[in-house]
Amino acid sequence: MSETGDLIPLLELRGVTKYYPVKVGGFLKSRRCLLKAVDGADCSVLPGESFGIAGESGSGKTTMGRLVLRLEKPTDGEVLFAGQDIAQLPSTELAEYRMSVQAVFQDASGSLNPRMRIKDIVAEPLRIHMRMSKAEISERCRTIVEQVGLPQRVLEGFPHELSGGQKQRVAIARAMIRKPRMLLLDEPVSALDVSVRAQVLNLLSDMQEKFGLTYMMISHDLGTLGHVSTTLAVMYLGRIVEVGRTEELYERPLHPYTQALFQAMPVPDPTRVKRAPSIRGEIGSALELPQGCRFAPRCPRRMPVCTELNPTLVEAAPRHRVACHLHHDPS
Amino acid sequence: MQYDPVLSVRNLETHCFTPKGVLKAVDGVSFDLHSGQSMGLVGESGSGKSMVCNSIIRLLPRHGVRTVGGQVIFSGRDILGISESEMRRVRGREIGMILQDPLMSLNPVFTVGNQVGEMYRLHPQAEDGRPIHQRVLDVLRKVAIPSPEQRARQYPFQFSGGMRQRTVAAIALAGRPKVLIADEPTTSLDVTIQDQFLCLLKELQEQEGMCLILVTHDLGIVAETCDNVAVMYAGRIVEVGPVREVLMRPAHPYTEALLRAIPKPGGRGTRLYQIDGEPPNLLDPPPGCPFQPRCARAMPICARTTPPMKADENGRAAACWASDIEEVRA
Repeated sequence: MSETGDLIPLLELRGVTKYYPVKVGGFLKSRRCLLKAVDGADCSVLPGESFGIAGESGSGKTTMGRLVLRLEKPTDGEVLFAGQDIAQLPSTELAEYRMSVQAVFQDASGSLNPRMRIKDIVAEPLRIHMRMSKAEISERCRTIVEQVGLPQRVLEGFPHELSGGQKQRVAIARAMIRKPRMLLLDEPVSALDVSVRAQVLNLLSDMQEKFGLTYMMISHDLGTLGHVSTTLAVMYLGRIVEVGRTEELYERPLHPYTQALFQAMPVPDPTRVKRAPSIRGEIGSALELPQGCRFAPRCPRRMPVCTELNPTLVEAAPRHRVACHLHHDPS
Repeated sequence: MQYDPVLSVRNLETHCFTPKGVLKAVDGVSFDLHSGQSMGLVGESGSGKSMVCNSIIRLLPRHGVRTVGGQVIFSGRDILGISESEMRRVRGREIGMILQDPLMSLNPVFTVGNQVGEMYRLHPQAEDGRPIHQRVLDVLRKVAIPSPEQRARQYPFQFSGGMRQRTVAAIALAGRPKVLIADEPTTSLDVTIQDQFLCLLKELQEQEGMCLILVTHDLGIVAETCDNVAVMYAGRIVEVGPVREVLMRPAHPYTEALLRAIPKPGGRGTRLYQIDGEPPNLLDPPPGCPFQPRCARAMPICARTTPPMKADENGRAAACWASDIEEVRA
């Protein structure tokens, strides 16, 4: 048994699917279709870890985040937080859940109300959820703003006066003010420049250490995910194709898609020998999923079975699961 | 190098005239591009890298932004001085351009084939006797667009992001330019599509013997695609040289900091090197070296005098008082 084997997961997804009914085609030829944004996701997030979700646009990683935040209810399957299905929570407990899981999104300007002062933005979760005096609230605001490394004077200002990095710090302060147990970070640094990105990533890792937070980070940037996450899941067209400890995944990627992703990632090392891209074409549409494995149409190692059967996630090594026929036990 | 450069930018200065004062977006940028070379122009937002490109091809907003000094020598003449109608013959035909957002560069109401063919209709001097339709299909094939006969009849909205960017590349290549300027061509693309597009770009560049200016904020892309790299900060080039040299042994503290600030796999638990503070406000730049307020190696002289560019014989140059580049005088 591994050292973390007997920990109870803080968050668990069991066979979660999310289908959206959509109309496709023109005015006369329109027909109803199901867009399978997430199609059977299983994973568990242990307390204190950083769970990374990698994937290209259209892989369903953001929908996954929205399901965890309960901004969407799953079509099927369960999202369990501390053992409880969050879709079944009564409203009082749901409010509590929303306090324990907070989110930071990519576009900080879009998530900060331009007509509110920073102090009101940061204090809003306190006003909504807690009975606190004005003095207490402003005291908490001052502490949290200091913790995210902002000067006190920004509290009186408006979002447009801040730089991109500062706005993201405000968003983090707002998420942290209710002392959540988990933060969902959806592309938190994608919009930031390299020098500012490093500041925000360092801040996030400090916060995690200090408050024992659990992170779920969604990103398309494998460098950032590799730096932040302890466990990494790779998604492709609504399914998790590989999940495992981050170092293990980087050293020994098993799924051909994971391998292609790592190979395509630009590395600022001029001595690295660049190989030609191993996969061609683009991610398919979640409206017309292929028969069998979703990655089969682009896969360089496709076998006959791949276009017939959809592989399930199986354990290929301890704490390393992969959904690929190449790694299935023949028995 | 003994050959004359294909494109030579000398002391380029482009200023923005704002109600709050003059903003020096490009403040004395110089570089040479030799035949078949590719150069990466790297910098953070606001460093002036796009402004350099737009100044070269003279596509600046009509009001408020003007190139106030310097020269851009292309095929033996200063293209900053020629008339707009002459410039139109250079732009697109001799200097091609690929912009960040392919949807912005494509017209939504014309078919892709029509838009690619426009290059041949507008530049009849590129005539080679074959029907335009045939040549459109050829160039679409060259950028690896599958089934070009059908694709040429479709509209941009029917294309995916990667295909749109290939279309823009096809338009840029149709004029067989000597220089191709690609301004963040892959920022809107996914990593596997980005990889495919950059490989294609490099292949085409080698085939056609073009020069390439690749604007990006990603040093990884530069390492894989370019021969040379110029690092920009606050409207100036702070370091330039062969990619291998610059990335392995950066001479400017900013380049070094940029490289160390990139998150890498397996770095968990270690702190990222961070450059404190923010890039300077160019309306009110700091005295001396623009990087000095954030620099870990700042000395008293840095805040007084702007460091000059020191170059060595290998084409390596940096503008830093602390750099150990041995200057050679020609």
